[in-house]
Amino acid sequence: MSTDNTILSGLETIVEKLFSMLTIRGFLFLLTLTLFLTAWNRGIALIYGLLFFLIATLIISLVVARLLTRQITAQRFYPPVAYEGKEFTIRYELVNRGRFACQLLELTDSLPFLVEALRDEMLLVETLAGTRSIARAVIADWRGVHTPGAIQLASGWPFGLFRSEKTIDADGSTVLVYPSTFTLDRLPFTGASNFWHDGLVTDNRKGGQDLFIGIRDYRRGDNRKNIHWALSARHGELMVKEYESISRTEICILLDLHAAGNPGEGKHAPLEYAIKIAASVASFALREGYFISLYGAGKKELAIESGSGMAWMDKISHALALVQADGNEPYASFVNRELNLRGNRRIFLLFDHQGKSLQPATMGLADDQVMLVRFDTKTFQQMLPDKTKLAKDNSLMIHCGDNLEEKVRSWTMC
Amino acid sequence: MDDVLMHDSPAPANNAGHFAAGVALTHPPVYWWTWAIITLDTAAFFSLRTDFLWSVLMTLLFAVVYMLFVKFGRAYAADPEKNGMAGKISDGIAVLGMLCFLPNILMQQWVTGLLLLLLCMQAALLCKLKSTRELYFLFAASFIMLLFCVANTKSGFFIVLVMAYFLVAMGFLQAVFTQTVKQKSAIAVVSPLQKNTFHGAAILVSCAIILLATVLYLSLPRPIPLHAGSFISDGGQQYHQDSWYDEATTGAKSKDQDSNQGAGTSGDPDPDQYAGFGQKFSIEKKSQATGIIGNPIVLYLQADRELYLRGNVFDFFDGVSWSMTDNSNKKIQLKNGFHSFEPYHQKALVHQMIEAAQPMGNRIFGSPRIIDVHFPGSVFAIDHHGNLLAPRDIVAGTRYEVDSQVDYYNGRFVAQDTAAADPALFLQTPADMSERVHDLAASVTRTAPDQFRAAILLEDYLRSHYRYNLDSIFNSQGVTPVEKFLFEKPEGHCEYFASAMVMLLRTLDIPARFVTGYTSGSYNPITGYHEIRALNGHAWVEGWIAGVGWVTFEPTPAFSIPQQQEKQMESTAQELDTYAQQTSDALREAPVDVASSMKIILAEAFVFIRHAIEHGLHILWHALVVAITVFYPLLFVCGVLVAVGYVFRIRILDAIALVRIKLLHRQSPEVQVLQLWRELEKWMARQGYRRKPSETVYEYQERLDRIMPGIAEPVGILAKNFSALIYGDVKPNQQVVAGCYDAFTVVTARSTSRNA
Repeated sequence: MSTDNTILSGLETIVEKLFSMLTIRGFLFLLTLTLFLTAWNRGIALIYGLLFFLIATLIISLVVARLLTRQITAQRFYPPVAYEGKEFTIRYELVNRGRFACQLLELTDSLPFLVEALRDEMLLVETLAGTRSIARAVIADWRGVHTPGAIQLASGWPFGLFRSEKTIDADGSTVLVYPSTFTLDRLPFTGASNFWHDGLVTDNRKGGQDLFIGIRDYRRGDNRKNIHWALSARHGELMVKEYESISRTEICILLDLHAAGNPGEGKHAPLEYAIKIAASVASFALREGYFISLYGAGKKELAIESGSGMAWMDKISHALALVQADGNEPYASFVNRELNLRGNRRIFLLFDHQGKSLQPATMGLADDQVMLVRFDTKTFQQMLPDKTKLAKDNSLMIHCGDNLEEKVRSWTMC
Repeated sequence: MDDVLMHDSPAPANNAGHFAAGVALTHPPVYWWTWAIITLDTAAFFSLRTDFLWSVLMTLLFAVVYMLFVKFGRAYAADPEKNGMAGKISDGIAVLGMLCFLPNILMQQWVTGLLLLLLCMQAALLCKLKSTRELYFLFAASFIMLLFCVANTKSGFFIVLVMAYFLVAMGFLQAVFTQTVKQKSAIAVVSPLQKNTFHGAAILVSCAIILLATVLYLSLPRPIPLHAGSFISDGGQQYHQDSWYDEATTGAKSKDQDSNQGAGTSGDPDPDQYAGFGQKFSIEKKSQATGIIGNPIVLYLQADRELYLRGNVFDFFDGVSWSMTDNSNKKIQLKNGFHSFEPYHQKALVHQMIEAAQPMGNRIFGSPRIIDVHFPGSVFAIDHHGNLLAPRDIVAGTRYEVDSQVDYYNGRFVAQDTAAADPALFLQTPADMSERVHDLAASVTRTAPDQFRAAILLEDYLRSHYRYNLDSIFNSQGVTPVEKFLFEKPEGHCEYFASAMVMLLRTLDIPARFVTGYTSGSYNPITGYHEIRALNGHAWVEGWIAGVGWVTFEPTPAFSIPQQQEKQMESTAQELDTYAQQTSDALREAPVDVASSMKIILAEAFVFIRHAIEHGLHILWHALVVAITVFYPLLFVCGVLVAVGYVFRIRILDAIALVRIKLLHRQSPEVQVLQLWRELEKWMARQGYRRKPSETVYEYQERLDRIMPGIAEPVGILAKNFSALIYGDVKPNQQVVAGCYDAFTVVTARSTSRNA
């Protein structure tokens, strides 16, 4: 019985393989040959008629397919900067300089920042005559600098027997995709206000009053005392005066860019998770008036000095968009170096990719001075979670596939 | 306005173009094109098997049934579980197909059986049509069915059906392709305004295909057929007679009266047939062929050359009627429908495929000498002149094949079938024949050095001194008053001429015999068959030339002896022209019915159109010749001007551009700025620096500056104002326009000076 099944499944495989080799064009070529041999053997003129119809169909299909795409050009327009997870528009301008309208034009654009399934998605233009502008809404899936590839134009019209393809080379311009952020309501430390750093007082309140730096839109939580009423009346919306605090709290983000310390692939690598957390914390903290600095020991040293205000977020986002895990220095060594170099009177956002290898106490840092995110690297290597290394301190343990927003928010509530 | 697109689901795997892909059908037109395709092949089937009216009625009936099946198929594709009834109907039709197929196979009606099976198979598939693979199978089945019909039809009107089928097939393939592409793409940009363009383009492509196919069909010559293998017999006839079969297998001669003539054969031909195919025909009895209406096709012949198909040979003439001295024949058993008289022959053979279009006598027509026979029966007979007979009358639709040995002597066909064992048998003359016949023969052939030359002289004499009278066929066919014809009234039909020549030859002691059969009729280039009509029944002469054999002579002036060479490779257009002429003539020869009138009108219309085209082309050619001869100095000057113009084309085009620029002043400032930039692009393109499609105006400006240093500024002015107008909607004032003109002048001056 099992032998029969094996033979049957083998036969089925062979038949499927044969069918997969046979396309409609191959079938028509075979049919043409058969018709010619039949007509030649029998001398039946009507079979010659069928034969010439088939030959004419093949010739016209070939010629039409070649002609239709020859006169078509395409241009692509997209913004230089996009945000991960947010929609933006790519516009294609298709021009058909030919005399005849092109039918069923297939446009395939190689967009490396899209979800893999959509990366080579085909866009079908049913009819193209003259110029046509098409706006396509896409969502960038991955932070980084991406260079869109060539645009492929193809048409198999009228019968799909022959395809003519045309490649419009990319102009080499890039799209910089900033990392995505999630919303936070507070930061996961409580004792920071009692802490002194570099002669400045830690202050987790929003924008200080010491030095006027500008006017901006009102944001939820702003002190009403800072509202610039006259300007608000003129603009028809609330405007607030922004001050730079002389006493400031600085959050220093230290990224682990050690190549060996970043297992996982693509978006599911600890660094990617770390970048999302860092960007979200930075975004929240800057909005709340904190100062943010960012450092990392990659192939190229990453150093964004301390700064505040939402304009600083662009700088942080830009740096986070470009950063890669390509360094040689182990994270613990890098953290120690940073502490020695820049002092430890700040709040640190640290990422421990090695489980529990990083101990804040041994580095002379207080528990409430450190926001420590640990990664369960086993899960990133597609292995079982390492329960022996589950964190029992105030740190946040991240596993591959975790919902970061949910996890970080619950962490800050603790 | 932009077409705004959003993401849809991820694209499915791109394998829909393969037969392996069982991609679900979602594009409704696919179903309707499929319906049209199988309706047309059903029409082809019924056209093959029934007459026009029935085929129309049955096609309409089946079209309605197929429409129901399409509905079932769509419902089944949408939800196979819920619409299980469609599956059951499909299985029922498949079983019905097998039930139709098996009895036909038992009756040896292979073609009918297969066609019915295919018909049911595609109907069954239509009920369960849900994926592209099934669609392709259905298309393949439909095409095979059409191919069968085409291979079996003898009607030239089938070409109309073939064209209609291909038009529909094109729509079908387009619909399948559209379905495939739409499934591949997650995003489709559809503009309702351009829907008509889509259909217009499809019609244009279809017209182009039909035009190209017609041109290929009419202009390309066709190779000589190979004739490997034999045709599938589908007459449903198995010609058999027990007594003949026993005689063939045991050698025991039957005393049955049918023994020589065959069962159900009276020895007399069908009333509609030529009288000369009977055992004996009397000149006292008026031919019944006078009742022929419309000169119908009686036989279809496929052969690579024109032939005389021999049916009967008469040796005895009593002055009133022709008959055979010896009616005996030899029965031969057919093994699997085949017999070869010389199994190991190495001779050049002429292959003939013959199909009876009307009920015939029991003569198996073929060109002598027959070497191989494919006949749908168990036994046949051969008389002592080498003519073949079937055991019973041949019915319409019977198809057989023969291979004949071809020998020629001085361009004359020589029948090598039987030797004149008893020359006296072929020297017989009527007892009451007067001496003046011999005198005439002697006087005509007095200069002839040998028997062959003598026969040729007699043939020439009859062809040149006597007139072929078509009317006599209807008035006096079967009556051969030879002497009256020779000496009193020198006009008549073929029997007069053939009888007279046989008698003249015999008076010179040259053995001769009176042969009846068919000429090969007119060749229909659409079907590839020679159409042999009732009035192609003919009588001619075979004379025994010592050392050569039975040489064919054609004394009737209206007929020409078949050519020795094979049919030349001609274009279908040429063949159609000949066919139309011959058909028109053949149909006019007989009393006309409605169908014949239609054919005559069509044939005449074709000839008229062809002559009109030929005449038109002739006038054009004549005009061209006149133009060349009369106006050659002017043409020479024009040629020189064209050559000079080509050499200096860039300068000329530049000059024309400058004229255009001057004329621009009348336009609005916007148009002027736009046109100036476009003229700049054209100007630079002529210099070899065409703007690339993906190049922005500023990139183009930079490139031009690299190529022609110093023009960055003027080009920049033009680029800036062009961009401001196009992208910023900034309307230029007169000062800007003037600046653009200046910039253009600078650019053109610099590029010209650089070239100089």
